[in-house]
Amino acid sequence: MRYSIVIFLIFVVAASPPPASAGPKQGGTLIWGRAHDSSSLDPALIHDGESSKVTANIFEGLVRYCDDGAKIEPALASRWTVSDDGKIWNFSLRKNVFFHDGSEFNAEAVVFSIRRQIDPGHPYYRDDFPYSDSTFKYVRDVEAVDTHTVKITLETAYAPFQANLAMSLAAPVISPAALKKWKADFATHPSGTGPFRFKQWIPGDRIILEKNDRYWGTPPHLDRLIFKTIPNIKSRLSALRSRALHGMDGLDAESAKIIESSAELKMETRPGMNVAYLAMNTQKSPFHLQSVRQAVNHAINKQNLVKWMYQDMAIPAKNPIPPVIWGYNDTIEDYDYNPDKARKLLASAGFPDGFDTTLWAMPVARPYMPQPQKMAAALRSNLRAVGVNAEIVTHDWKTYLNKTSNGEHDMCLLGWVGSNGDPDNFLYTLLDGDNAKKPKATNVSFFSNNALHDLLIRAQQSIDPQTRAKLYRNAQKVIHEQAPWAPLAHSVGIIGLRKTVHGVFPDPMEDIRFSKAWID
Amino acid sequence: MKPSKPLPGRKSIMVKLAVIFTVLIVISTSLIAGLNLWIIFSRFETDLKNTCLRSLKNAQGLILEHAGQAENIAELLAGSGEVRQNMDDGALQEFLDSRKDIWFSAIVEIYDIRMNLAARSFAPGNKTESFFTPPNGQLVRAALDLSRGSDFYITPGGPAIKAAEPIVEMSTLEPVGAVIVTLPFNIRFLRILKEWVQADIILADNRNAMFNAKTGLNEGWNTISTIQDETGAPSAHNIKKRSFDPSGASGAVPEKEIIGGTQFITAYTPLSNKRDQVVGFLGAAVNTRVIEQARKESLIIVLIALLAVCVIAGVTAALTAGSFTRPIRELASAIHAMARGDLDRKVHLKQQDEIGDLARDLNHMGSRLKLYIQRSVEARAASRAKSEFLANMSHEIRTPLNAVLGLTELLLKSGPSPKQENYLKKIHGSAFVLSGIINDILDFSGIEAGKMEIEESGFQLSAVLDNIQDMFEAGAAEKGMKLIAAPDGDIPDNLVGDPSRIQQVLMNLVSNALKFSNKGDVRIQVEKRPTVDSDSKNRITLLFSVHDNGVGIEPEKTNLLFQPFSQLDNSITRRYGGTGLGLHICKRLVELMGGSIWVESTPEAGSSFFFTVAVKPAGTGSAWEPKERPPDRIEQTLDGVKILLVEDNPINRLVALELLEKTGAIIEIAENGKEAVEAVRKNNFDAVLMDIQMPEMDGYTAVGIIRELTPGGDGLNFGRRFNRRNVPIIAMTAHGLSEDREKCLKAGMNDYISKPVDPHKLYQTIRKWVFRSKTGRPDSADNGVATHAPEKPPEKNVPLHVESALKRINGNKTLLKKLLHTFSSNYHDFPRRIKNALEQNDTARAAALCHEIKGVAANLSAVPLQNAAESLEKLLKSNPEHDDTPIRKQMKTFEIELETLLETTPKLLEQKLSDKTKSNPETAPENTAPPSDIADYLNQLEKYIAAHSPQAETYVEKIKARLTDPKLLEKCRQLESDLEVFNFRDARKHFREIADSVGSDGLGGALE
Repeated sequence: MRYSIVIFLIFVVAASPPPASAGPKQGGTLIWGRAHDSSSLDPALIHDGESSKVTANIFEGLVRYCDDGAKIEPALASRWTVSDDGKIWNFSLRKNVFFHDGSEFNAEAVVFSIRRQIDPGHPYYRDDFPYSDSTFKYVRDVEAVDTHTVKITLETAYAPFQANLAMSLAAPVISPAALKKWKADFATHPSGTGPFRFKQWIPGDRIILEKNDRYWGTPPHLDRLIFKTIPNIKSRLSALRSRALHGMDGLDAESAKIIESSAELKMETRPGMNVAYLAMNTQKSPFHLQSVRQAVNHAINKQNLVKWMYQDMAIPAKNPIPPVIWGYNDTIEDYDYNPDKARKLLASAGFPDGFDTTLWAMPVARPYMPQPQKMAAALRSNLRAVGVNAEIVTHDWKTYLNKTSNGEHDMCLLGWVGSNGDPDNFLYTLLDGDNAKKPKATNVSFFSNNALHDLLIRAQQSIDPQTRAKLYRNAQKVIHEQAPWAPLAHSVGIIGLRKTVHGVFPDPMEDIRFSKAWID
Repeated sequence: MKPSKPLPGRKSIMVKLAVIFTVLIVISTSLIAGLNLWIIFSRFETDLKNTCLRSLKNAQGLILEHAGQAENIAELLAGSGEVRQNMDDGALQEFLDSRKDIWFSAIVEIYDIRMNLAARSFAPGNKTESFFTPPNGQLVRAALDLSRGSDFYITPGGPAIKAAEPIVEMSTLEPVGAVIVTLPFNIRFLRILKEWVQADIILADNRNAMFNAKTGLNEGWNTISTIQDETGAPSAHNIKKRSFDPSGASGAVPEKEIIGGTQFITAYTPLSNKRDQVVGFLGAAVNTRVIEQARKESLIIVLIALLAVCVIAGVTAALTAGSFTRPIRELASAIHAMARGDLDRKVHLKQQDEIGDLARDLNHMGSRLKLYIQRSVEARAASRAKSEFLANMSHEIRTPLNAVLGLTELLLKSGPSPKQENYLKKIHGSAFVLSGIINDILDFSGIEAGKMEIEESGFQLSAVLDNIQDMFEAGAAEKGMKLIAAPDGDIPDNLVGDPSRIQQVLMNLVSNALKFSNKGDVRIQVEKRPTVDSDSKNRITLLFSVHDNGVGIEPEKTNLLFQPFSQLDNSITRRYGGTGLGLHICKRLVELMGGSIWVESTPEAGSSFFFTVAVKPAGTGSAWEPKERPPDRIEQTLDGVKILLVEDNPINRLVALELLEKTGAIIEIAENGKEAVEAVRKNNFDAVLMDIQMPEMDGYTAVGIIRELTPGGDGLNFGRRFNRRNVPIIAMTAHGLSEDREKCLKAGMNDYISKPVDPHKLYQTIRKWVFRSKTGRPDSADNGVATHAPEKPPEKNVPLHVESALKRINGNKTLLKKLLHTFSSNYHDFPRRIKNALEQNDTARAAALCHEIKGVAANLSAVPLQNAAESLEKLLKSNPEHDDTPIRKQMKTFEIELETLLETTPKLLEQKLSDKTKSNPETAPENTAPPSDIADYLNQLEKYIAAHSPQAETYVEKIKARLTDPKLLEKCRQLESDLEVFNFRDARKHFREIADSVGSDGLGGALE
């Protein structure tokens, strides 16, 4: 029965909740419980899922994922074309769309929103937009062809650009007027075109959104949407059970069990668009050696580790991308738990007695890794069993990130939550040499492989999804063989809902869509 | 002024207000206090319930904390290298025992990978072993599959929290065992909870199974609690009856519950495991003792406060009520004073509110009222003055009117020329009408003043009807109409009632009937009506009706008929005259007599006036005797009766003298009260006729003095028949009101005659008093009702009973004179004609002639002639043998009677109708000797002229007889003509000239 929950969850995902016979009920306030408050409400400034969870309802990009995450559909751009060379993107914008502050959405607004992130000459440019580089990678120019046409010119053909524009981070279009008005305070006075408009933010407590009656699409059923911060998971669950909340996220395995068995609550999962991994710094000895890296993979009793640590709330990972992402290579056979083989590989690599090293572990639990310290301890024991003596190192979270981005570790625990649902978002970002640049490396294994790079770039520049999928599957094969990581787990994203709540969709980007939500 | 005496059951407004205020305040305060108390109590209870809920929640939290602790212990032990190391060598038990203190009451069990118990540590106690984990159970199995965490479990010992943690061989991450930490829900644990949450803790569970909340609770529940009875066993709790929210988080409902005889507030929440299975119920119980004490205290405080409020309310209410009622009392006292007539009383309230307004209005009302009363008093005085004026006027008008009537009659008797006679008749008629009007007005004012009184005296209905007939027959005959009186046969003739009023009504109706008709008959009918009034059997109701064939009355106008001052239209007044009071007076009179009056009329066909009168039959059983009907043909005689006539007005004096002298009475005259007293003092009288209003001394005073005279007075009259002071005194007054009569009787007079004097009444009254006195009851003059039937005076053999004759022809003396004249010219030869008839042996014709003359004589009231004719007729009829002797004898008598009549009639008439003037000089006001020379005559004449008296003429003639100077004679003739037309101003002028020429000294002075 160990997988029963997962199976159940998958079933739930597959079968979206049937709408009530009476149809969506209008009005009402939906209160959503979550573990953390937002850091900002400016989509260009945020870098975490908790913030984008809110902004995704306020802002929209030119395109978006459809509800089931399978493909990208028009949003503020009603249609778009790509030149044959894949460099010129022409977006035709929707007309009669207005920002929440009343100003009109047009090509200028799109240009403004992008330029402020990539053009140092732009009056509102800042150098601390965390996702601007990756999102607008290769963007050479953005211009308004006319009031409702935007032309974006890339330096090179770049397929993931489309997915990047669907991200809730960086990509959304903001109201230039509002930004000009509020300047830095735009972060607490956001104005977009989304189905909900910002009403109030009580820091540490709640953010209140209201229905956008002028929404260009179907206006939301709800009158109000409140994001309530309840850090303690038990309290949050208690609030959900006592009807103080209509839904919550950040569930752990235990909570999931409670929700699963409750008569009034239901659980919905989203695909685990994440990965937890052990990254080995390939620029450091002895991890520059492929056999050492493979030995580490063989040394880990991954099945038990995941079961013990995740308590059925995750599946063991064998690839850097989760199975829900297209292009997942399921043919790859994971390294089995085989300490002997590990030792042999170490011996063959010149470390018959093993070696001493460091294992960096995060100080805080992450959605993809609930117990990093305990995980680290377990890993250390596994490794020690094959002769690798890893000292567990930890820093505060920010330092941890900075140092790992700077390549100061030997081995580190980290994870990734996909932000645009594109394999590129995982593979290129986390494993391409392009991203192994200190001090802002996202490729913390600092793995650089020409074959992989070739595959990934080709995939970026290809428009045909089939071709791209094939390239990515090959890329995964390379990665598996090279083993810069020991992929650990893909945790399942779960939201808990009262059974009276309908139409809440966990989107592939770990955001939650409320535009079709309603309450009985 | 003192307020009115409190009536029994009267409640002061102040008391009422005070009571109302008090009750209101007390009720509202009580309500508030009660509400307050209720709120406080419910607040206590709410507080207690909240405390209970809080305790329950705390207990839940504590349990979770303990669960977390258990997890920590399990994780700690499982992660401990020592445990892993000692798993194999069996030293685990020691290891655990050495650390027992860490987990206190928890049970720690370690199983190896084969699910065998490796070690167990626990605090020994009550059935602790029943909480042990079964080695092959799901929990150990799951833990060995790397599952971890804690949950509620049911053990044979009851619910427990069990936390499981796999012991993992870290190098391989393979499980090698499991740590199970059990936190038993035993009484010890409950006491720990109780200590922490400050409330009793109850735990109910089912040992045998777990139940889903949805399926309800089964039997077989077991309860433990920190509330223990004396034996230490847990009290029974009836959890099953409690309602629960299955989700458990929010639904605990605190309720009252009696546990072991003590009242608690309890709340329960299910303990659900992670699969929503209820493993038991956790309850918190708070003893209500705490609030009972608080309740008592609050109750006492509130009651004391309430009492205080009541007292304050009472005092305040009394004061407030007092402040309200004080001005009201003042007002009431002022009103009371005003009611008693103190209209100067003022209310001194200055307050500017409704009561102040009231006070000011009252003051204003008082002054206005005072003004009105003053005016009313003035008005009443004015009204009284008017009444007096009216009475005086009636007197003043009647007196000259009497003079007019009397003198006109005298003139008519004095043989005027036909032209003069015509004028005189008109004067007389007008005066008569005027007299009627005045009588009407007097009656009306009497009725309006409520002074009209109805007498009850015996009368004969036939007499009343005869009187009416007498009065109107001639008038009817003149219009060619007949007056027919037809009383029903079953009506007793002798009745008791007010004949004069009945007669008055009838007169009015009949005169109207005659006035407004020109043809047919006027019928008077009298019927006996069944008496509606049942209270008196001896009353009968008479229905009088007067029918005519006159102009009739529109039906819609009949209502107006009986209103005062109303005639059907003004044209009637113009055509027929009258005051319009007659029918109103009739109505009032009839009503006074207990009847009603109405009319049925058809225009142009005639009217029928009806009225009813309640009368009593004069039965034999009645003490009352009917008065005798005044004999028509009997001349009243007062022969030798000595009467003192006290009358200041010469004309009245003349009339009275005229009336009295012919009765043979001896008359002495006094002109005022003073003279009357003197006369009585000097002489004895059988009766005194006393006028009331006189100069020098009025009648009342005179009577008073007379009644005070000492018997015998100066001794000269001692032994006479009467004490002078007891002389019957009969008042004669023009004051037609019965008020005056009372006044007269009160003043000491014996009886009363109203003027104009009705001769019959005058005689009757005098006779009543004089003859009663003469029948030997000198001292019983005050004996009110005469019981004897006054004997008829002997028929005096006068040839003609003028009064009777006049009465028969409605007092028309001229007519009488005419009749007599006609009689004398037609019948003077009857003796010769009878003789002729006898000579021709035609006794039948002689008898017929006798019969004829008999009838005429009867009509003329020539009684002796009538008797003689009757006797002769009888003789003639009864003696066909022509026995001459008696016939001749009777014939002689007849002749003498006729001759006497014819001879004496002119003289009689002279005497009765005109020659009365002759006696006037003898009864001159001064009661002095008649003037023997011209100076005396002049003196007399001057007085009469000054008095505007018609008697002046007599003296002019006497003076004329003594004058020879044609100039003076001419002047006398002028004077005569002046007096004839009552031109007294010129008369005085001419008299002055005559007197001057005669050269009478002293006349001038007398004329001043």
